[in-house]
Amino acid sequence: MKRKLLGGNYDLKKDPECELPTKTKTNDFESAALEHLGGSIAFVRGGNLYEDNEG
Amino acid sequence: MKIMKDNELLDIITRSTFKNNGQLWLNNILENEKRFGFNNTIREIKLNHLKSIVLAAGPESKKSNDDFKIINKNRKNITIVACDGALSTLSKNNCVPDIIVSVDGAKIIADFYKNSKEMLKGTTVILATSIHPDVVEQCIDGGAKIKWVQSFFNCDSHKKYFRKGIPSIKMGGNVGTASYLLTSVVFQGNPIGLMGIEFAWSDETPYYNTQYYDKLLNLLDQNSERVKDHFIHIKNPYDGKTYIADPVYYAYFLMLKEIWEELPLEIRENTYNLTKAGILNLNELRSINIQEFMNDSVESIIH
Repeated sequence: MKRKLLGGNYDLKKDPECELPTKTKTNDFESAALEHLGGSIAFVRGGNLYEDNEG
Repeated sequence: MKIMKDNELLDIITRSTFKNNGQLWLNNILENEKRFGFNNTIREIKLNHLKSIVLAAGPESKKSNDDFKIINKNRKNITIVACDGALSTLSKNNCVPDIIVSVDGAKIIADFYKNSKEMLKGTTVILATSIHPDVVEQCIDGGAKIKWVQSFFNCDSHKKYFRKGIPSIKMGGNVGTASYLLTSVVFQGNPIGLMGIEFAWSDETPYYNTQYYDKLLNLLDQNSERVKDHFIHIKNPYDGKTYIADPVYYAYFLMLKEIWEELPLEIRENTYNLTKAGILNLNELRSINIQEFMNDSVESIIH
């Protein structure tokens, strides 16, 4: 059975059983995910890793 | 139509997490502040031993009891920082951690503590200010020493979540990454071994047994084939096996990968992956087994 991949590290020449998807619709997934999905805690991008905030 | 790129997925999960959990976090912060106060913070924590293991709840690591025999034998010489989800595994192996970390604001997190009460007496528990109040209650009931931290920084976009006086740290979206960043950046653990940070399941695992399957099924019109299309398959170079990650767990991996590049080289070079399973594959992250990590030679490599 071929594996359908969102991405990944397969080399299709070495792993011919794999198949990259051609029908993933980013916009459909995005709008649905924005309504229903969510991880555990905020992912803050940029800035410092740590702030003491003392005082 | 286009194939989703890593950056796009990371952006979607980051935004959806804020959008769907932001109000819960704020409610939790306000209630915790009112009922318990944020009196003690992570600023007070000092590690007894710098050699540390960060223990997460990855599915493959739960299967190895042999690793815990080695950990228990060397227990007095290491610090164990455990994610809340690893409590049942620790309990099963009679191993009490030095520090437990919880960052997820969901009420269900309280069950980890409720089901492992014997691990709590006198143990330090680090809680995000946005944690559910039921978690705080369980920790108090179990006799844990609570230390607060926050995942928000003092900036305009997070002002309503931010509380002055409590240290802020990037948490990388999940408790495994948060535990690692606390241990490395704040407590300066050295060396650090990562156990159970896998971000994936073995590809022998049925999709419906993965954490976000039901949510994905709901958002993809109850179409299981579409759900499968949104899993990523990655071959692990260490064990040669293939692992599957849903979009949220894959985003967790991407978050850690992004933060990893921001970490000082010294921290990256002093971090070892002790679990060969999963999709955690980062530049400079070396993979060794638990016995090698326990040997003094690990420290001599560094210094």
